[in-house]
Amino acid sequence: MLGDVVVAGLLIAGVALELFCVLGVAVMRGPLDRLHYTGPAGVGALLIAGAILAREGFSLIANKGLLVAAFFLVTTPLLTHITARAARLRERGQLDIPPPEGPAEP
Amino acid sequence: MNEWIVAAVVLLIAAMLPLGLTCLLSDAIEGVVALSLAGVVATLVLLLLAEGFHRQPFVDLAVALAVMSFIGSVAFVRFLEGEL
Repeated sequence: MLGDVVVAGLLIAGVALELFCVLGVAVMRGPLDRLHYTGPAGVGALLIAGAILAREGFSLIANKGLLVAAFFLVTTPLLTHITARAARLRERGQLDIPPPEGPAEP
Repeated sequence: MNEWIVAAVVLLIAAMLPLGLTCLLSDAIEGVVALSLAGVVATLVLLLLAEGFHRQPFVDLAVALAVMSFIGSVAFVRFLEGEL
């Protein structure tokens, strides 16, 4: 009984977190604003894998689910970083911030 | 139809449609953002289907899709960056 509640809670939380990410990516404007909402997707994958683990224990499906969740937890921030880098390069043509133009020194 | 299949169908409909529209209607780099999230969602749908139907090959598909969607997204980003 308690196990069913835990499984349902983890499953609903995982799906709701994924839908929240999708809503953020669909509604926001601009690549950097959208990128903020891709980060929690790995946590949603971990919640869903946890639901499978709570139901079945360490079965083959649960183990590979945990593997997929760990993979997303590692690669999602990496992908966010390189996408933000590409967005900045496309927007400004360079990564570095140019120094401000001050008055000429005597 | 158990709760795992319901969750998979909900994710498939409520997540893939907005992400597909974002890919179609937005700038290229914003489409890549939506594409990378769609890869995560598709992998989780396969994972949920594997649990719902108790079919272990679906989990292998999910593992393969996770790796391939990451590689595909990196390739798209590098292409848009001008490196490829």
